[in-house]
Amino acid sequence: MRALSLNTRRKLAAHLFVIALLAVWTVAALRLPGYVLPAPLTVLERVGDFFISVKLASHAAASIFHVAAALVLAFAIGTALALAGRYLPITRVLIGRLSAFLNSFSSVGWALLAILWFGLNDIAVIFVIGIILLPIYMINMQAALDQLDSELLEMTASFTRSWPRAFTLVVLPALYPFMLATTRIAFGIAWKVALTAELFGGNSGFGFLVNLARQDIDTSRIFAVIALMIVISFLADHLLFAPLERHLTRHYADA
Amino acid sequence: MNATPDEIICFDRVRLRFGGETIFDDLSFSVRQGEFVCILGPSGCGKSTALRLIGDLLQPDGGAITVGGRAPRESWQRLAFVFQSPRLAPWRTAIDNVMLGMELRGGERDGAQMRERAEEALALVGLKQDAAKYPRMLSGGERQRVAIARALAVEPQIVLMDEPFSALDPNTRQRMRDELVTIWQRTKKTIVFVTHDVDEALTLADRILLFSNKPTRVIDQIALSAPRPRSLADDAALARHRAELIAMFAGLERTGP
Repeated sequence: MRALSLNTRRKLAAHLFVIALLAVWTVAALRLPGYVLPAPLTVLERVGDFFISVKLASHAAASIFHVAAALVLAFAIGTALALAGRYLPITRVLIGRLSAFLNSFSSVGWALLAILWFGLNDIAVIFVIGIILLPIYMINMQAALDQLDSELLEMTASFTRSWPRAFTLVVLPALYPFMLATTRIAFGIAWKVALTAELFGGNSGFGFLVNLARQDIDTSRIFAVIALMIVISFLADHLLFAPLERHLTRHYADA
Repeated sequence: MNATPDEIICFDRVRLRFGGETIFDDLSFSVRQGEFVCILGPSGCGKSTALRLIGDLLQPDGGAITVGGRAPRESWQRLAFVFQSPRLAPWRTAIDNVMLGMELRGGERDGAQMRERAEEALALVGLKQDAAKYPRMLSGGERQRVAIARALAVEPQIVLMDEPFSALDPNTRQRMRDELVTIWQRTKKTIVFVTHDVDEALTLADRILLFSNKPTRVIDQIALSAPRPRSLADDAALARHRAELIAMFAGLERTGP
C-alpha cells in the first residue's frame, strides 16, 4: 500500500475520531433514557424539523437577525467611540473607563436589566448582545487606531489638509483588516451570548426554543439547536469571514 | 534679508525648539525657482526637519519662512513630498497609489483625467507596465518610483525629497539619481533634496547647502556648474569639492551628537 500524504492521514484521523464519537454516543444513548441523552439519529431528525416547520425556521431566522443587528450596532457605536477617543482627546479617559466597565459586567446581568427596561422582545435581546460586543469593538478599534502607520499618516498630511478626505481615503481603508478580525471574534461571542439573552429576555430565537424545550424536558430539541448553531457559525466562518480575510490579507500584505 | 523675485523658498533667521533641544537657532537660506538644491549634513542635524517646516508639517518658533512669497500654511499646495520610505498604501495598486495623492489633494479633475495624469507620471518614472501591480509585488526601487510619480502627479512647483534613495542598493540608487536628473530637466521643478551622502549631493545639485550640527546653521554653500550627467572622477572642480566636503563632513561627524 502506498503511503498516504500527511494531510490525508490527518483528515482520516479526524474523520475516524468523529465516527468513533458517534458510535460511543449511539451506544450510550441505548443505555440512557432519552431525556438524558437522545440518540444521534433522533437529533438529526429534530434538526430536519427546522427545514420543514416555518415556525421553527422563523426562530432560527430570529436568532440570526438578533446577532446581525447587534453586530451592526456594536460595530457602529464601538468604532465611533474609539474614533472619538482618538480625535477628541478630552473623551479618551472617559471612553477607556466606559469600555472597562462594560467589559466587566456579565451577559446574564444585562439580560435581567434588559427585561426590566425593554420587556421580553427583540430589542432586549439585541441590547444584551450589543452591549457585550461593544467593549470588544471599542478596545480593538482603539488598538487599531493606535497602530496606524504614522508614516502613512504624515504622507497623507503632506498631500491634504482636508480631514474628511484623509479619513475616507487612508484612515478608514487602513482599518478594514482590524474591523474584519474584530467582527470575526465578535461573531463567535455574539452567537454564544444570543442563547443566554434569548433564554432570559427573548420571545423568539434559539434561546427561546431551548427554554421551551427545557420546560418540556425535550432534550433532543436542545441537542438539535446546539447542532444547528454549530453549523451556522461554521458556515458563516467558512463562507463569509475566512474568504474575506483571505482577500484582505492579499491586498493588505505590507510592502 | 530681502527675497529676490525668483526665490521660491526663503528661511529667515528661523528658530525651532523641540523636546527641550534647540534644533535651529538662526537658520537662513533660500532656494531659487527651478533650482536643484541639496541639503547636506551629518545625521540628526535637522535636515528632514527643515523640509517639514517648508511643507507646514511643523511650525517654527521664530523667524520667517516663505514659500512662493507666502507662509507655508498658505502654500502647501505648491509642493509635494517624497520620503525616505515610499509610504505607499498597501491596498492600492501602483496607479491607484499615484492617484491617491491627487485624490487627497482634491480639485476639479474628474476620475478619467486623474487616471490619465497618473499614467503619465508612471510613464515618466518608467513604470508604465507595472501600473496594476500592488506595492508588495514591486522592488524597493520601483516602490520609490511610485512615490516619486505620486508627488509629480499633483503638479507641484516644488518637490521636497527626504533621503529618498538611501534605502536602495547602490546600483539602483545610482540609476535613480540619473533618472531624477532627467525628470528634473524635463519638468523644471524646484527640488530640495536632503542627503547625508556627499557623492549624491555632488551628482545631483546646482547648489549644496552644508548644514552644521545642532543648533543648525548653513556653514557652507557650494554652487556646482558642472554639466550633467556628472562623473565625479573626471571633473577636477567636482573632485576638489568632494575632497573639501568629505574633510568638513568628517569634522562634523566627530564633533556631532
